[in-house]
Amino acid sequence: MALRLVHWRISPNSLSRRERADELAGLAQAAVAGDRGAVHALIAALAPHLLRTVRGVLGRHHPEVEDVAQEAALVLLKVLPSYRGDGRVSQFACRTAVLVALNARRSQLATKRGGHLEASAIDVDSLVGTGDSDPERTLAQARAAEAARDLMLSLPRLQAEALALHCVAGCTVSEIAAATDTPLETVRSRLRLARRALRQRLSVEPAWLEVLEAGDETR
Amino acid sequence: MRRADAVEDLLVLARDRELSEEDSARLGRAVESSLELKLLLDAGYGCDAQTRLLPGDEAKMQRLVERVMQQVDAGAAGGEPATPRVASVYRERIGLRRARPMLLAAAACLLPVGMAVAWQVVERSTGASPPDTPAASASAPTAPRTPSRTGRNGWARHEAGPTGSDAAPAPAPHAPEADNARVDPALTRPAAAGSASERAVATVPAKPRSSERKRAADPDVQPSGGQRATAAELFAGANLARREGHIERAVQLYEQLIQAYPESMEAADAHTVLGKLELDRAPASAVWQFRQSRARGSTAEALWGEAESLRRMASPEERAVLERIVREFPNSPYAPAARARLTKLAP
Repeated sequence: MALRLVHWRISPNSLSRRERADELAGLAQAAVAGDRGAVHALIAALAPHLLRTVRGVLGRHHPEVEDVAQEAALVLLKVLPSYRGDGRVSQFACRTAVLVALNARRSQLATKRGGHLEASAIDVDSLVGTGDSDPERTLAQARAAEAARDLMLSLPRLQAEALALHCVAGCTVSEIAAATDTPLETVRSRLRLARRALRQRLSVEPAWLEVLEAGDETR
Repeated sequence: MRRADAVEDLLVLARDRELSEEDSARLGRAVESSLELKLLLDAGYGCDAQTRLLPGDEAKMQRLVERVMQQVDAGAAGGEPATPRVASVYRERIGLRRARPMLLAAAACLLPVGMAVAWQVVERSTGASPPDTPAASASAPTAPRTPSRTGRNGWARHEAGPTGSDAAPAPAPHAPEADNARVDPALTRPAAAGSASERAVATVPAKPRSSERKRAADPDVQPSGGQRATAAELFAGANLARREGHIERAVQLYEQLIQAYPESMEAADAHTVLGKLELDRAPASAVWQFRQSRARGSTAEALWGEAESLRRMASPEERAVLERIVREFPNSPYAPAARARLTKLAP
């Protein structure tokens, strides 16, 4: 029960998450020191972040979401000793999940055909609607998210990582810089290059312009 | 330090909280002037919506924690946790420098083995020794491949040669892996017996392939030169015309597509687009278009369009269509809107 409370208190996108002190830093330290209880509590607390981030990169209904999230948790435990306290533990976990999920998606693309945005690639009927949302808008945003995921696969790894942290995990430039231990200007540069690649795709892919057009119609 | 200095940060912060008037105006100007920022903003909202935690996720997270702890305990007991992708991810990012000497040593060991295998292959191809499997060489003389190579090559050929496969589907015998990689049942229709034109239509892929999309995006390669335009080309051409404001031309191309390829997925999408175009001008006609789209496989989106058209006509049939959305697609984004509309329709 206590663990559940931790989940929701650090729930991503809650209004005050950016201002709070990192409540998980102590748990991370204890986990690195070999405290099994701390490892359990840390993974339980980070599970929502891992699940959400992996979903964001793979897509909501990807069959491997759970497996990849589990793999991300194991990788996180392995690399946790390298966490130096720059940035929040949850962002460090998100970065780990982004890398693992991108790798999984690239592997999938390498072994079978797919990964390109099609006008009908989104399973409209599987999208989750909310009471106050415009369905056309929800669909347009889902298509845009799929387009961004598609772009990530064609970008160099560092740019894809920056874009995924930005777009999927909702990290600001300074948060990406802290999570990746990279200078601010380098992160900005990676995001700029990712945007340039996106602009080029928009100029040659009619389906991508459709995405924007659908968004415009519902604005 | 102010965190909302960069437009990139505003894109993220706008998803997180309400922006100040000044920042909101800045973001609005930036998004209006940049297509890619517009798409990234929508993508961010889309990711937030798709990654939202839902009922049932609690159990998934519980399972995740249990499995990870099992792995941790196995590792502590001396076993090696099974993390197949861990190495591939973090070797690149963290331990690559340390692993490099070992990788070089391994490569040096494997090099002579590889050269020996290559020498054997060269010997066989020059006729120095007979092939091991005569049957296999008779059926596929040019491509005895390992399974992994077959899969990759099959994918590459599929992407590289859509036009060729459209014109002449090659039924040459090949490995099962190649079958899986090259012939996606979702992309092809069953062969139709009948006239030549019917057979030609049957070989047209239902979804546009990437190279076709690129070709169609360029106005210079629109249907011409005596070759029949594919469904994807017609659809892309119609979309382009619509985006550029040539609505009559767009409608003409959509109708041409529907007539030429009535069973294609593009035809269903074309009916949906035509329905949207006619929604305000001729709602009765829009209803027909959305019903045609539904008949070809579109579902909640077409039902919603039909309901919208019926609402404009003040038709009592709207209720039945809305109820169908709620009943058949309860988790779709159209369901909440349909429920809200049904509440308003309640007597």
